[in-house]
Amino acid sequence: MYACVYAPQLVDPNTLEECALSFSPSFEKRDANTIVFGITGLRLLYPQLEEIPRAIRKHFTASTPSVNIAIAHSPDAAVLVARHFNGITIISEGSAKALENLSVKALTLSPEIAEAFDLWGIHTFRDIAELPEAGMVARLGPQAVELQQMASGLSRRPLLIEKAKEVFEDRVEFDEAIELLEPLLFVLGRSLGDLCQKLRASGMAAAGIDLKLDLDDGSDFERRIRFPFPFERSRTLLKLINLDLIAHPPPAPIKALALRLVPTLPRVVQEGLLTPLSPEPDKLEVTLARIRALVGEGNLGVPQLLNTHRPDAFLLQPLEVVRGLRAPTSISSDERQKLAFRFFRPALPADVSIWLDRPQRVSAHGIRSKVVTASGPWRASGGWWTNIPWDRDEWDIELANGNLYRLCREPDGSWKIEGAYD
Amino acid sequence: MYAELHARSAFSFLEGASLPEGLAWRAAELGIPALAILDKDSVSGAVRFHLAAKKVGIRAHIGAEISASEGYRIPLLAETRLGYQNLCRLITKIKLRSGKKGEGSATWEDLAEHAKGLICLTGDEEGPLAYGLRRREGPEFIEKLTETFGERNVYIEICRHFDREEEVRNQAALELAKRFQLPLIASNGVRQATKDEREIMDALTCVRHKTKISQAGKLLSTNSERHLKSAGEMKRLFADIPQAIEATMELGSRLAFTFNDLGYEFPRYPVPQGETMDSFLRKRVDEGARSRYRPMSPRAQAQIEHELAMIKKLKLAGYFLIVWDVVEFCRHQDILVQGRGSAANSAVCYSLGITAVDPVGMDLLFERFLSEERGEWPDIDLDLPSGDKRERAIQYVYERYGKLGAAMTANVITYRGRSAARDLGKVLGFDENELARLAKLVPQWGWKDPKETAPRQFEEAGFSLDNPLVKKFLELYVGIQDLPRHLGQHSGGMIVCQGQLDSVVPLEPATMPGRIVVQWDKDDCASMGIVKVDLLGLGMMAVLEDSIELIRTHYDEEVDLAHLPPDDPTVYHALQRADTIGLFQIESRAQMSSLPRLRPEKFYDLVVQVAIIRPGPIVGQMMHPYLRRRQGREPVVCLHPSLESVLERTLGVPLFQEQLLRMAMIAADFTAGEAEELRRAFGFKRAEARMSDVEEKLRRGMNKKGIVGDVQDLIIQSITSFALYGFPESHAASFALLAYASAYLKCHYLPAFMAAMLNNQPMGFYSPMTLIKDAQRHGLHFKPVDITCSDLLATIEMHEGEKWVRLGLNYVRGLREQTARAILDQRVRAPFKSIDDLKRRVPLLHKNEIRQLSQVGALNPLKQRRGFHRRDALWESELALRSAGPLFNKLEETDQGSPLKPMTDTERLNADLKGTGVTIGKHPMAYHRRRMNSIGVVPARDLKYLSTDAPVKIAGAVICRQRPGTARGLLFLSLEDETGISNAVVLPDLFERFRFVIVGSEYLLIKGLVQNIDDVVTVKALFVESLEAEERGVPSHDFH
Repeated sequence: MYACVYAPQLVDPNTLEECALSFSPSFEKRDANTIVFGITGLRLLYPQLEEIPRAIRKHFTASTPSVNIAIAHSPDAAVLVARHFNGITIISEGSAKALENLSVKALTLSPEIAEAFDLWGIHTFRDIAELPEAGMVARLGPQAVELQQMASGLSRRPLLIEKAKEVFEDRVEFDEAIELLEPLLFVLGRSLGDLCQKLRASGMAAAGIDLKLDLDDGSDFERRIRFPFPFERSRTLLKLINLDLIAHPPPAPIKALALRLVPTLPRVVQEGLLTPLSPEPDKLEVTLARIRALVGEGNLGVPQLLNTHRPDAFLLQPLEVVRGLRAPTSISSDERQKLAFRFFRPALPADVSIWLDRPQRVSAHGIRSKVVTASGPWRASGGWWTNIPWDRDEWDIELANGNLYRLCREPDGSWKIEGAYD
Repeated sequence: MYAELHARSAFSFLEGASLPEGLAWRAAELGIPALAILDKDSVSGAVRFHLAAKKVGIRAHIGAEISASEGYRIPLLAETRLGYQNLCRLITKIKLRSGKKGEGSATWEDLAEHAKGLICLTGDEEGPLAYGLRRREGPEFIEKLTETFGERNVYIEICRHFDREEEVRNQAALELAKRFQLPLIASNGVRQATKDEREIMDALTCVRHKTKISQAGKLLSTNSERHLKSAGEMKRLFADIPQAIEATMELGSRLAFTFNDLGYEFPRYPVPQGETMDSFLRKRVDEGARSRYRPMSPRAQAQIEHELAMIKKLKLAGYFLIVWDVVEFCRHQDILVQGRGSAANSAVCYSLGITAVDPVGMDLLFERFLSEERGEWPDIDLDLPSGDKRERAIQYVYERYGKLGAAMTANVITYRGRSAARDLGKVLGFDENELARLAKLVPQWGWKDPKETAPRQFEEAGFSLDNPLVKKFLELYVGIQDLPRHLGQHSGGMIVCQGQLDSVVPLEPATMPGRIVVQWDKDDCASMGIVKVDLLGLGMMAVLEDSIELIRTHYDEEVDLAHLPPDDPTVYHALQRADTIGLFQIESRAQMSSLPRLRPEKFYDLVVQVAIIRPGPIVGQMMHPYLRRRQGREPVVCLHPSLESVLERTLGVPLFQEQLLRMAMIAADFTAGEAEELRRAFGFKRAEARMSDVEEKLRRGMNKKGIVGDVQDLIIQSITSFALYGFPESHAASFALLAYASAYLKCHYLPAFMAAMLNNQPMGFYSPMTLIKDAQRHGLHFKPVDITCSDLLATIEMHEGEKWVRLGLNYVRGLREQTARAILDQRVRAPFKSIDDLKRRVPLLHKNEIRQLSQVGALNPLKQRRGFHRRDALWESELALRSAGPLFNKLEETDQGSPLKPMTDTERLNADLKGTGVTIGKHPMAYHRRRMNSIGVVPARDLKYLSTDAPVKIAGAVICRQRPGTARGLLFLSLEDETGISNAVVLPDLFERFRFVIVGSEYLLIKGLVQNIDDVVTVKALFVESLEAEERGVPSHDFH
């Protein structure tokens, strides 16, 4: 016998699984609101069949809206009954009568079969049950048998058991709130050790860490760290958390911690004999984390030029270690002719005197000179569809000492030296 | 001074942001004396540019950017007429060679072949020099260009848009100019008239590249500098190269070609030796007149002489002969043809058989068609049966005048309403759901509530104008309106040319195979004095033709449309009762509500009827005075005694354009040509200066004749309010002929008329379902689609001495024509024995097709078993669809019957409506009649017995929702039940209250008050509710 629980308005997706696990080690989860499990073994605990659904119902609070529970001899029948009959329903074996008035829409039909049923005027389970099996099979194929069995309540199939997802989580509560990082790391190290062992035992590695700290002032402090490669060594993970917490220290003493590793498949790489050595991913990530802690979040990565006319518009992409060397992209002859340009970061604010719309003198930090030659303005604008449209004029200037700079005038009239030509 | 000689307009289709008129206007504003528009492989905008430039007083130079096979574009300017002709031929060559719309490129050989009279600029970053410089072949490209176009005719173009790369190119160009001793010329490579239009340009770029603005990156403009700039600005930009600015004026002065010198010549009609076109035309007219006018009246003779003299004077004999030739071709091919429009004012056209209305008998005004003063070609529109026969006439013209001698006129598809909303929404990155909501913001209905301001509409649709993207959407949406999107094909306008048309305007392939279009639309052609013949497809012509054929076959009678009994009482009785469903032009609800008031008794009443339900009479408030006078409720008074002869036949109310012309002629002594000029002046919405000049002239004329004061004002008012929308009497008369013919056939040969109507859908105001129900109410019987005897189209079958209409296989939705033909082929060889036999012999039959045939009952006759029903056929056909495999192929079928129950009435009705769109069984409302009776719903048939202000309930399937722009927000609903059609009117407030019910329901129940005036019953709705019904809805025609 099988029980099916159908809770259409359920909020917490784990409630059904928890309910099923308290009655049976194996269950089949049809969808987020439907779960079905075997109850044959429960007859020793609950001699009366009616007691079982009542016991199941107790798992849900009185406030849980509309939970339907069905007991039937097959998983399919149980699911169908639970989905279409309110409250608790028990049907005995072969009792097709209970199902006969159900609409064919209750079955999961292929569009082709659904259309055929519609054309044939087949609207209920009884209509399907009454069709000749051979005629149906000849017209709709072998799945017709299955459909008819389901409609007649005669379906016989085992549960499609779903293994519960393994969770790699730990929570530690402290008697006294911890103020220093060191004791926190000590506790984290132990938790990580256990979790990494569990991970390895499952043949998995960590793709990231979610750390949640309950603070003494009643607030929560959360860190979400994701790695470019899967790691499985607890030491590496601890170091990464350490560096992250140095860069982002919690604002108050810590009362409890909850740690969760994000599982993923481990990385398997076969290095080539002649492939040059590159830093080990763990070490590289630790190094990068160290740098990130120093320079700040968002200031570390590989620059990628953006597709825009706006000069110097770029985005920092996470570093990706590429095995093997890439051939340098060929440089066009036009590119070769151009002077290399060195950006000043940040650009130098400048005072510029203008004569006949052209820069005459420029002074900035460490630069003060007459402009010998000025070419420009070179004008670019864009982003007119956003809240921050941009518009700028640039000048390439040569100073008396022969140095070449790029001057930029912002829409507000301020000047900056953006960099120098080599 | 500075002339801008390299600008692109929006006719470069998504590569320019301003209309030619906008560019011309802006150039004049900036004091630029001359402007050249060079669109991409096109002169589509050239005529509009030429006219706009003339208006604002600048010189318009014509040219184009020609796509070269290497990918760059060569800017070419027409120096002489030969140059322009070469440009047109070059574009035609590359377009026709590619064979695909919007594609094609020129080789150096093509350029060399067509180089004479053209001046080449080296272009901007898309030009040949930039291309050459990128390949380090700058000098080689200059050599190629000078070899091709001649040293005198190549100008090194330099642009300055504050761009580094461009300046590098400019420096190279300066060196090359020096080295090759070529003149430098400055341009701004204009893409938009004003700086602000850069945003539109960027949006169009995204549409062209099918990308979002946020992802377009470097596809967008670098800055906003590619707009028209004044001479001062350009001089400042090129202060170091003043000769480049001066060269613009020098080159401008070389460009002698203008559109005043187009060189178009209408083809000469080949006439036998010893004849001139005039003498040949006279003979044809004399022959025709003798058969048309029996006996020939002196008035007719005089009119023909007058017209022939005018035709000779204007050298138009060739044109009339060419149109006559097309009409003759149609006659020989048994293709029904009839001229419409102002040509029906001509006795020559009537004699030549081009039109069917006798203008002399109807006292029509020839000058509305042709006048010396106008200096324009006449316009003859020919109505042909839509479909293959019209295509045959079009192909005949192509064959007769050669591939390069005739073409269809273009139709410029512009950004309007939803297309603009969708394209811009995509560009700005709105998702599908938002796009759908944005598209819905575009008013669907003809009438627009003044309270519906854009911000309110946007807010109601869930868009905040604080969002910059939404704000930009609104700005761009307004800015993009009327910009050309692409070039389409006009529905029937053909132009022909003596010699080669491709030297007048470029030709290009249309999307439709075998069709060639010119790059100008019909207005451009008219402006350039190019004669157009409209070969229009008219569904009703096809119906008449098919009806005549069916009558010939099934009645063994010959119907000659030209000689129908003129005053058939049955026809007029039907018209007076507004029994006009399916009739040409007089079947709409508005027509039906005025017919019982007008009560037509003779043909001229029908002419008035056709014309009266038009925006002209409605907006000019002429309709009601006419109907009141017609009913004797208002005295017939004329605006002025001198106008009595003109207005007498329309009871003193001006209804037609011709009357307007004659009023001006009589009251103000205008010549016929001046009067036509007056009509045109008032016909243009924005020609205010022209209008006030003409009005002044009109007043002067009337003063002279002593018509002053209020009467003068009244005449002026009636002329001005009417000129914009008035309907020509000749056109109304042509349409009235078709209306009468359709009414005659419906009244006397209903089975043939209905079969023809069903075979030419979609057309007209009503769906086939409504047509069938109407015919059934007239006693006609229908037979269902039947695989054993249905033809492809609806046919007539004899049934117990009566003619019934058998539905054709074409009504089975989803059944492909080739499958239907295969079924018919096999059936001719041997009748089908069973469904299995059908499937075996017609392997083309798809699963959906056989299911559909079973569902609509078309396969029922294949089983002789008693009680074999549609579901039995479905059960069997499902088996036939699954091959048993070669092993069992020869096994005999075992007939055990199907276990399926027959369809219920509702199921059968729904299967009919789903499978064929029609039902020949009971009307869906018939199944609800008992319920309707119990709640007091009055059937449509009985409404006429109720008096005004009686409370009433009506119910039915919605067959029409209309909210015309002229009705101040009123919504008109037509509900159909098994007894007929009931009409309701919904006031704007009520519509707002029940908008979703009215728009979303297939069946409605309306409570309201009866308005029964002159046997026209309308229900003024007070409450509207959706009627629950299991039946599918009847197709509804909703009009904007």
